[in-house]
Amino acid sequence: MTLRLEHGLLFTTVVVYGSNRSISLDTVLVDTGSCGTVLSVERVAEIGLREQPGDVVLTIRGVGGTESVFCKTVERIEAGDMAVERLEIEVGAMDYGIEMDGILGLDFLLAVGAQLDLDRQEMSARPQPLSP
Amino acid sequence: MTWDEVRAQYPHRWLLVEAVIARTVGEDRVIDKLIVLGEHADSLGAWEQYRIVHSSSPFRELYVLHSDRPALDVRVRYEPLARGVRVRQ
Repeated sequence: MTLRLEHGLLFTTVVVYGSNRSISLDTVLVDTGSCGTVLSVERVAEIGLREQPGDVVLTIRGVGGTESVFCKTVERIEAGDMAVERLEIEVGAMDYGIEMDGILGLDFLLAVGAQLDLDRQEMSARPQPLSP
Repeated sequence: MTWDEVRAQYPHRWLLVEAVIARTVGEDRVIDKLIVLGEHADSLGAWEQYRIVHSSSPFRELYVLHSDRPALDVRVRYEPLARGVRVRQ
């Protein structure tokens, strides 16, 4: 699938499946520097994924600041022909200075064996044939 | 306030809280004192307030929690950039 270069960063489109509904998120950052996949609290509310009193709450700390998120397991999350079933994701305010629907983190990218072709700005799960 | 005091004073509410005295023990964040910044009928209202406060003060330790939560069990994780997304404007 094709990646889009915006603000000097790579973005893609992700489809997230909740219990009965799905949503397509068009502005999702592809980020090998994020352990987890994070989605916008407002966007996942559109498919009924809302924080519940007993959800696991996580604080993530680093040089950029402190952020809190809650954890949810989505039925399926897919990017192009790459998909992971029952992935635990993080949900938060996504206050990163630019508008985005989510971050596709290393958990998803490792699970699908993603191959990033930065020259072609493409991402795929299968090895690409070498050029002669 | 302690979490028990918060729960007694704001029953059955979504809250935006700030940890003012907290420490990390292993993978757990132990919050000894916190203050309530806002109470909301639903979680999305609390998250909206979270975003406003966090955008001006990204190092404040904020949480959206429901006061029905019996224990203040928060996990902690360190990431080098912690989503400090660096953008070329």
